[in-house]
Amino acid sequence: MLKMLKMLNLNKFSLFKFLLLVAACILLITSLTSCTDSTEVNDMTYVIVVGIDKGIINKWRLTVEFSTMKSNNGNSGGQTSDGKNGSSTGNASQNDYTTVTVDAPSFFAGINIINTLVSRKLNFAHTKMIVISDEVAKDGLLGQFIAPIIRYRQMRRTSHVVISKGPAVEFVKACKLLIGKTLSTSIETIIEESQRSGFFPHVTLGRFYNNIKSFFY
Amino acid sequence: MISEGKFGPQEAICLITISILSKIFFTSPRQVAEIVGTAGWYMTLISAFIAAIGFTFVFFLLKKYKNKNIIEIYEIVYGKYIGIIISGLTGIFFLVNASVNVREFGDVLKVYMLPITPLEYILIIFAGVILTLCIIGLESIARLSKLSSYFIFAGIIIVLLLSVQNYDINHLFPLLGYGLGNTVLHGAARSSVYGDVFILAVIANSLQGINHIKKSGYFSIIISGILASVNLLAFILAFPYSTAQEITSPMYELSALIDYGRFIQRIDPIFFFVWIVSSFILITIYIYSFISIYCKMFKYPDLKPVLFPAIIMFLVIALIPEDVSTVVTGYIQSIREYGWIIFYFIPFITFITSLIFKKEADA
Repeated sequence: MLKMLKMLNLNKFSLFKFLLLVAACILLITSLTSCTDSTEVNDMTYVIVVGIDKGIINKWRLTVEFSTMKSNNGNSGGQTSDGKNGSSTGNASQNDYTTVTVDAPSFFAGINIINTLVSRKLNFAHTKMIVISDEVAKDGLLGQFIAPIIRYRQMRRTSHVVISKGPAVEFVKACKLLIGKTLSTSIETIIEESQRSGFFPHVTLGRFYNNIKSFFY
Repeated sequence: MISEGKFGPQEAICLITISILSKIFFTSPRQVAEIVGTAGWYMTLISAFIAAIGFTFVFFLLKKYKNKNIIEIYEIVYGKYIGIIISGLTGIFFLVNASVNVREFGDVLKVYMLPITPLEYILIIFAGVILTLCIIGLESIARLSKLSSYFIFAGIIIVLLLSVQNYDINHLFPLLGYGLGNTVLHGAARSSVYGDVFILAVIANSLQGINHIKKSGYFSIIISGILASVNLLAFILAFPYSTAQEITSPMYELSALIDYGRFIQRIDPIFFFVWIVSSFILITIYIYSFISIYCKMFKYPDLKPVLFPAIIMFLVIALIPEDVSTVVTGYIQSIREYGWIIFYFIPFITFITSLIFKKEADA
């Protein structure tokens, strides 16, 4: 040890500093790589719209619409798999979005089923709209479905909630681009119209949940 | 005697205010909503008032025994052995408080941001920063608090102002929450939230005289009381109390709700900056207080040799609770409800004892 100290030309105090520096370097090298919990953008697919209906073979019918991350050259061809009757529609931009529908006992069970069907993991951090069918809304069971969603870390309380006349799955499938290239921007613009025209109410997920739970409304 | 450096009342006020206020960013507002419903925003003012009364006895002790810190005062009043026991209990309380707070921080971070990161990993990195801050000393910690206070207070104000769109005055009603008696009772019990002002008594030698301690103590309680009340008011205005009781980190959710169209939304990183910096200051000052008490109890001339073992103990205690609900409903709740015994009751008894037995500084 002493020999080593002499070789490095270090006294005991500077050796302590040297070891501290080495320890700090090791800590920083291992911690800053972020390998443990890294999730690449390429590993995920971002859900834009979620639809909720009453299920047939299970309690709920969950529909998700997400970007296929394909280029807009018109040849990529969006592939829709809705469990039973898949369809591929629209022009180049519309082909960048697809819908998947599954029947599941809960929201999270539905996500797990869809994650096994698609090659990427669903991510709800950019979900813009939750569509609920009027049948589910009238039934009074919606609280059971919404409560886990609101506690889900990826879901934001600022997502817009829409009650559809008829099945939500049809509404979600009809959510296609008419103008522009991104569906999320289109949805935001359409929702903003509510403030100008007043033709439909604007409700966010947070406010929707508050109103379900609160005694004030 | 350990050398802790000197700093002024501004640094002390920032240090204590940040450490009190950072509890707002954890699960405390949720607990408050659960206990008193809509009355949390003025319950905290009751807590601040009780804390100010409690601090008065600490101040009287420090005034009576000039140039002494609380550890030396305990020794003078109770004698060496009982003094060491009481100081030891205070020190352990700070250590447990730090561990529980870091565990709460780690768990909340896992809930919202890092769900698959191992908890130990978060805690070890946190401990590394605390160790570094403790090595550079109390004076640097105090000056860091003052420097970061501008950003922290600006961050809080930005979040509160931008959240205006979500406020609903109807959420304030019923104004008396679950009853005035309940609010006053829990307000008094939870005065330990402001107990960080006791730290001034531990580091009394670093402040320049009794007037600075007095000024720092009362100003810290007033500023943090007002800010905590405003934060809780904003929280209850944004969420009805029935929903507020379910939210893990209400202030985070408040910042995540901000949405002014496509250009101003998702500003929760501002909150994270405020939350993480203030948490570092809170937990560092708790750990430092523990180490400082330990060194003063046994008259160690230097606190650096104690730092590493203290950090190991801190980490081990932080890993004891099973899960986040045990931390929140068990540990945090107990610390909030019974912390006043350490922070105010023991100094009060000590002050009475010193009057009855006429214990003097040179005794």
